[in-house]
Amino acid sequence: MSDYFDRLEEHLLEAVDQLAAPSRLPRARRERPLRALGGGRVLSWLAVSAGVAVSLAVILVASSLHHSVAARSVIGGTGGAPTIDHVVPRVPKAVSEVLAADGSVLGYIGSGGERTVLAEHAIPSLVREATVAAEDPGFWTRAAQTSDPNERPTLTMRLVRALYLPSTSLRQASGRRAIEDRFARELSALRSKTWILDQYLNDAVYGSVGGRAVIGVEAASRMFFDKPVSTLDLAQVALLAGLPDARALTDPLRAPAAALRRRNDVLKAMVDGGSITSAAAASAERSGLQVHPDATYPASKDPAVVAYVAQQLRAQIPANVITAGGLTIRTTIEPRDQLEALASLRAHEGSARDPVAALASIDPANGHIVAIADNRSQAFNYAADAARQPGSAFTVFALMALIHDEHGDPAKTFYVSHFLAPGWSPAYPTYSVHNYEGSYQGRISVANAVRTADNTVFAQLGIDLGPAKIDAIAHAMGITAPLSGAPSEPLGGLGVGVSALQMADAYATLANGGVHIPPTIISSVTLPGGTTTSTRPTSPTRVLTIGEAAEATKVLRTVITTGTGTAANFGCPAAGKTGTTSDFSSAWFIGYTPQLATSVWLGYPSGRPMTDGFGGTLAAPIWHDYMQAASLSRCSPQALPTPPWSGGAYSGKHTAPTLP
Amino acid sequence: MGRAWTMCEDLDLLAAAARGEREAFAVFYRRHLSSVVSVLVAETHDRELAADLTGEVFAAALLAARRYVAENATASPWLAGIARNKARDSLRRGRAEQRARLRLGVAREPVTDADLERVDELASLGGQMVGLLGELPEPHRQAVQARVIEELDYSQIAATSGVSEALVRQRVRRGLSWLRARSDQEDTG
Repeated sequence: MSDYFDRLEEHLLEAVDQLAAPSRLPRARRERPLRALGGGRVLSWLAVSAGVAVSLAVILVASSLHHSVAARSVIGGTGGAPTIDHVVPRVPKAVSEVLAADGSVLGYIGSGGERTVLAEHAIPSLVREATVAAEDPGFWTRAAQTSDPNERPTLTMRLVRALYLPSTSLRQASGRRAIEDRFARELSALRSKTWILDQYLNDAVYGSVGGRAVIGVEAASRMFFDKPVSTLDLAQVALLAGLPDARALTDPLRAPAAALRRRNDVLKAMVDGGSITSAAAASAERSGLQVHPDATYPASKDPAVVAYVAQQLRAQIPANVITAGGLTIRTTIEPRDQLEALASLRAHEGSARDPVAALASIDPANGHIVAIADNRSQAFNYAADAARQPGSAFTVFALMALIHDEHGDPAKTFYVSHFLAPGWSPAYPTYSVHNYEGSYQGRISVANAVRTADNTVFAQLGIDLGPAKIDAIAHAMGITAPLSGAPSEPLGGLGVGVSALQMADAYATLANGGVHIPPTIISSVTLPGGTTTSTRPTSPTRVLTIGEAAEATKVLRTVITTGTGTAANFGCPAAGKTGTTSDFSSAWFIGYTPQLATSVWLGYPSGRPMTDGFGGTLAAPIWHDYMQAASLSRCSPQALPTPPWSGGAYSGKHTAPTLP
Repeated sequence: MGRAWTMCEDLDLLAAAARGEREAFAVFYRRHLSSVVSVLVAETHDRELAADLTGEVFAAALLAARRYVAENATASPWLAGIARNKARDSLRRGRAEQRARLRLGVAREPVTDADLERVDELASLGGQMVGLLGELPEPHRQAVQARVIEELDYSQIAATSGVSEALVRQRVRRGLSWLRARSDQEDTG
């Protein structure tokens, strides 16, 4: 007797028949399709990524690439057994390359094996000829399969084995050779010989390193010669062409003599096949193996940058496209700036016992992140992802609320700097504020309080302005951390901290004359098929008038010339602000020229205090060194324009009375 | 001929089923029946509803088969996701979901007491510990579920949950050892 689940199976199989005859399902087309894993992600991704201009078609093509064969019509009757048309090819995962703005390689994303895919036009014809000679001299002329088990499998059969018969399933079947034969025949009916050969060159295993397969001729070229396959000479090409067939025996690193013999056999086969002259072969035979392994490929030269790029990529590209790999991700990182950043950080905090030091640097005109580095170089990006208390570097937002919302002139608005004992602000009875080492200055202007990092003045100004205005302007200028409206926020006492990148972005708004542009690091992504999608420039938002920004710059300039940040003065007109947390767990300097906005943060991951942990003594010198080096071509005497802006004396509950 | 299909992976079975290969879908159904039933039992705590929804889950899978994109060698995580959604929708609405079945015209079978026993068997085949999962702290439950039931790679779990791979491993390890201790307790107590 059949049970419930057997009967259910019968009903479902009847439905399978119906699916094959769609006319019997008239409503199906009109209804919203169910979400399949890949398709659903594509749609939700499109919904959230308004910032990236990628057409729906491009991504749908990318995510359904491995369906391309399956989508074709069935060849002949199936007789109930799978045909190659049913079996979806398992394209090996490729590494994705992360490039700097100038095209140099910063690192790689993905751990699916060492594989870099070449497009048809990028495969040198010499490589094709060598491979055919080495593996399957009859490739171009004879049938794609051979049923004789004693004969060497053809190149097409080997491609079928790698692509369509994964190790876990059909490959272990007893009739494997017969299935391979049939699939090879079917594949050659579907595809051109050139396609099959190129696919083989991209998918064959050429060796292994560190226990991981080196897949495809380009990865093999990088691995054994540390250069792209397009630059190899005949001897090198012949060496690679001989590897897939007997890689364990002829690994040039482990068995150089056998590899040399195999290479010379391939050269001879090429002469026999007529693709090279015997003179060329003889000359190539005289050269050594020339193996120059690249130990770093595909390790990342800059893991912290790659970690951040990978994170940003996940917000822009569907997960299955990233997993499949083979992307080329062009970033906004300027290699020279990045090197200067690393050098400055390591020069000051170079030992493993030193605190973490991180730097983020942005081109204010377009939001491009030109450098983002730390002295740890792990797969965690401290500059982008460490959330730390900003200290008085956050007072700039109270300053901006004063200027922007109240038209208050910082030089004409005065407070009395003094110890604020509990109860000074009735709304927060326990809130007390003191300055470092009790240095109270009496009646001073807000402008002077910025210069000298006077907490008590900003505590009073913060209460007078109210948290809503300060939070609003901080968010508009680029702070993405949540702000709670707590009274200590203007002094940098945040619930959740901020990253160096957020602070650089916010100060970049001032450098850019009051226009905020969200920071970007990915400038374009090239899909394996060669389609390049550029990140659409994020839309600029005017947050402040150019005059308001210039007024802030005038005040922040004094921090560097005569204030707490004099160590940052590198000779080029610049403005900035120090930040020091009361427990010395974080030290900051954030500053800018019109060409570059840069923030530097230091702190131990554990949050333990740093010796002499002031922003002005720890962070400003790093900022100085980086900006000096990075600004060589970016410093102009007309820097920091000061268009007219006029405000009056702001009057709040705690402001000092205007002197007669 | 059926033997050849049993050697195929889910991706191929679904692609073939979408084009009317009965045998491919039969293999797929038998391969995943127990895990689907166990997810449904764990989600609904109602054997009859679980039996009823099994048809709906496979019907939905069949309808979506054409667009299935493999991220894993097995379709288990994908099916488990469908099963969870169907279970939750059904509980929310107070009646068994049957949209996919209606579209495909899959008839509803009455469930007998003997069938309920079969549900128990299938569910215990599919994951003895599934029922205990809900008692884990949320991050650990998610990690164990993604790794053990949905068979995702650690890197994928780390990417989707936004934490490091090391942390995911730690959560899975701790979650599993707790589950084992707990299931031993249940066995002996």
